[in-house]
Amino acid sequence: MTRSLRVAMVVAFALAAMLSSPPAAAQPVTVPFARPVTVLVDGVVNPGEYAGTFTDTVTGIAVSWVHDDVNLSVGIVSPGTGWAGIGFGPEGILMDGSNIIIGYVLGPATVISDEYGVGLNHIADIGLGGRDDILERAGSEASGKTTLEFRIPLDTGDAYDIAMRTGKTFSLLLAYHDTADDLITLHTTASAGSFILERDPNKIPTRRASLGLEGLGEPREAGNVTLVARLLGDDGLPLASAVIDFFVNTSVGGGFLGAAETDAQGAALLNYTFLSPGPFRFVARFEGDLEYVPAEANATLVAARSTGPSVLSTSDLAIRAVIFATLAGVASVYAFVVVQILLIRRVGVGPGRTRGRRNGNKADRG
Amino acid sequence: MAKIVVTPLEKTVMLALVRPGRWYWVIMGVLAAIVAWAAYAYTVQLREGLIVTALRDRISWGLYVSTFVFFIGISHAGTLVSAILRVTNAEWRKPITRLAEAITVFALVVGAAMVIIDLGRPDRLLFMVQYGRIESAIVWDFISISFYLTGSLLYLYLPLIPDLATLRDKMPARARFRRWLYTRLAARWQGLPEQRRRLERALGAMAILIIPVAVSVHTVVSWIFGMTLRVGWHSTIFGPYFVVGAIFSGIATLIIAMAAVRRLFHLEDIIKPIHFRNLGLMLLALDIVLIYFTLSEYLTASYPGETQDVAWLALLGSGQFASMFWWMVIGGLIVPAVFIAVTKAKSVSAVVIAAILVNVGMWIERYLIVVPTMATPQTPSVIAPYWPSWVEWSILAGAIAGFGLLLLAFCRFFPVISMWEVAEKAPTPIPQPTPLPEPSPAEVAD
Repeated sequence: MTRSLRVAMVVAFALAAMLSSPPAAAQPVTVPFARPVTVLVDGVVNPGEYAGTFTDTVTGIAVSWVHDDVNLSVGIVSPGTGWAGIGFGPEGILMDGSNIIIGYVLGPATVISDEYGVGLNHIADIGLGGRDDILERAGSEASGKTTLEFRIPLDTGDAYDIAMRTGKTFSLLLAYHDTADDLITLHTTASAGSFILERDPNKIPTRRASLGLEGLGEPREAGNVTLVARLLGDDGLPLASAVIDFFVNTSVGGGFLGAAETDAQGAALLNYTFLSPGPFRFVARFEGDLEYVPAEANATLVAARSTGPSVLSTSDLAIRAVIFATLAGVASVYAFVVVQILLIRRVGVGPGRTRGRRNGNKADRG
Repeated sequence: MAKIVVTPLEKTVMLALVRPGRWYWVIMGVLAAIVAWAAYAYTVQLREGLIVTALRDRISWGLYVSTFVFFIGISHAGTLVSAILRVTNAEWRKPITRLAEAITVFALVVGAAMVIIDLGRPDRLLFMVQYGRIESAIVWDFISISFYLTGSLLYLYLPLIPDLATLRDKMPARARFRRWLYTRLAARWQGLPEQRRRLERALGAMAILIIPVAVSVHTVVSWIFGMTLRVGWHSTIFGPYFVVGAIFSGIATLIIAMAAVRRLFHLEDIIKPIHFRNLGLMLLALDIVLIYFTLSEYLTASYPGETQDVAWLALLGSGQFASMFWWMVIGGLIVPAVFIAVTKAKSVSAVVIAAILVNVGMWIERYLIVVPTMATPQTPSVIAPYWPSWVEWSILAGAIAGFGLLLLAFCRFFPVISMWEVAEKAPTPIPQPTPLPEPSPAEVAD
C-alpha cells in the first residue's frame, strides 16, 4: 500500500466518522444554470463571478457554483489555510461512491485531486484505474482563507465519478482543516447536505419515453414480488440512470413505496411484500428529464390467499379476542339493566289491579 | 275519588306536553317542510344514483360522511354530559339531563342515516352483516354505533320511568292515547323502595358503562380515517382529537337545544342561567383543549415537510379550502373562546351565540377532515375537485331539520325535564301544590 493511499484512508476515515451522523433534513441547495458560463478558474472568487453562492453554516465554507448542463464550475473558500474538500454523491450517501474533489495550497503550488469514495476511504481515481477528470483547477491563499476553483464535467463517463443530471438531488459533503496542507490530517470541521442542479429553463422536453411495469414472482399473501419498471426512449433504446417512483393503491389508500434507478437495460426494480390477499394496483412513474416528458405505467397484481398462517394471523387473533371480550362485557351490562327493568315491572303493581288507576305513584304525591 | 294533585314543577312540564304553543307548530311545520324537501332529493338520488351528487371515484366521501361524523360527535352531548355529571353527582345537571340524553339518541339516528344515504344503494347495508370482516374499522364502527344507540336508548328510558308513571297517573282521563302509552312504558312504577333500588342500580351501571362506550364510538369513527395511509388522516392523536371535538360540539348542541326548549316551553324557572354558565365554562375548557389538539395536529404534519403533507396543508391554509379552514379556526375556536371568556359565561345570549359558532365551526372541521384529504392525490395526479350538489345540500338541511323535528316531537310526548330528579334535588317539598287545569279536548288530542 502506497503512502498516499494510507494517507487518503486516514483522511477518509476521519471524514466519514465526522459525517456518520444522519445529515440534517434540509432543503437541497440549488446549483444555478447559466449559459454561457463566464467563470475564470484562476484561484480567486470574484463577486458576481458565479451565479450561485452560499455559505455552509456548519463549516463556514463559502461555496460558489454554476453549471451549463455540460460542466460544473465550483469555487470554495474555506476559513483556514489547510486542505479543503467537497464531495458529490448519490442522494442519501455520505462517502461511499461519492466523487470527492480535495486539495490545498502550499506556497506557489496548488494541489487539487479528483478522488472517489470507497467505503470509509477516498482514493484518487487514477489510483483505482480511472481518470482525473478535473478540466481546470487553481487555488490561492489570502487573509487566512484558502480558495480552490475547479471545473468538472457533469458526466465524465469515468466509473469513479458520479453522473450528475439536472433535476436530481445529490448529497453534498464539505470539509477543511485550519492549517494542515496535506491530505492526511483530520479535518477541523465537516458537514453534509444535498444539492440539486437547476434545469435549463429554455429547454423543453418533447420526447416521449415508454414505461412498462410488471411483477416478477407469484403474488401471494405474505409473499414477495419484484416490481420491474422498464424505461425505453422513443428510439427503443433503454434509458439508464433514470429515477422511477413506485406507488401502490390499496383499500386503505395509496402510498409511495420507494424509488429506484434504471440500470443499463432501463430496468428499475423494487421488492414488495403482500400483507393481505386481493388486488393491488401499482403505479410506476418517471418524472421526465431535459429531453423526455414524464411517463407512467400501471399494473394490477392479485395476491392469492396464503395457504399457511397469515402474517397478520396473530394480530387478527388478538383483535378478535379484544373485540369479542369488550362486546361481551358491554352486552352483559345491558342485559343486567334490562333485567333490572323487568324486576321493576315485576315488583310494581299494575294499574287497576290493586290500587286503582290513579293510585300508582306514591313517590310523586304532593 | 281522590283529587289529582300536581306540583308546580309537574304543571310546568305537563303544560309543555299538552299546550306546546303556536310557535311550536310553526317551527315543526318549517322543519317538516325541509325534511320533506330532503326526502324528495333523496328519492332523486335513489332513482338516478349517486351521479346526482358531486361524489366521484376520487372523492367518494363528502358532505354525507362529514355530516355523519358531525352528528356522531354531537351525540356525545347527552351521554357524556349526563353520565359524567351523574357519576360525579353534580346536582345542577338534573334539569338538563333528559334533553342531553334525547339529543344523543336522535343525533345517532340521524348520523347513522347519513351513512346509509352515502351508500347510494341502501340495500347494500346488509352486506356489512353478510360480508363484513371483523378486522375492518368500518365493521368496528357499525358495531360500536349499534351498541351506543342501544345503550343510549336504555339510558334515556331508565330515568324516564318515574316520570312516565307520574304522567300515567296524572294525565286527564280524556287523553286516552297518552295514558295508554305511559301505562305501557312506565313498567308498573309505584315508587316502591325495591323499585327505586333497582332503578338506581341500573342507572349507576349505565352511567359508568356509557362513558367508555361513548368514547369508543368516536374513537372508532376516527379510526376509520386514522387506520388508512392517507395524508391528513394517518395520525395517532385522531382518537382523542375526535372525542374532544365530539364532546365540544355535543355541549354546544345541548346549549342551543336548551335555549330553544326553554323559550318554546317557558321553562325559564327550571333551566336557569346557571346551567348555561356551567355548560359555557365547560365549552370554554374544551375549546382550549381542542385548540391545543388542532395546533398539535397541524404543526406535526407541517414540520417534517413531507411532500404530500405540504400539498394537503397548502390546500387548507391557502388553497381552495382556506376560507373554510380559517373560518373554522377563528370563527369556530378562537372567537367562541374569547366570547365566553370575556363575558365569563354570565350572559345566556353570549353562551348561545358561542355555541352556534362552535357548531358551525365543528361542522366545517368535519368537512375539512374528510374532503381535503380525499382531494389530495396519493399517486401523481391533480387535485380532485368537489363541491356538493343541490341534492347533497338538501339532504344536509334535511338531516339538521330532521334532528330538530325528532327532538321537538319527543318534547311533545315525553317530559323534557326529569321531574323526579329535579324534585329530589329540592331541599324542601315544593310548596302550594295546585290542581292542573283540565286542558281542552283539542289540546290533548293525540
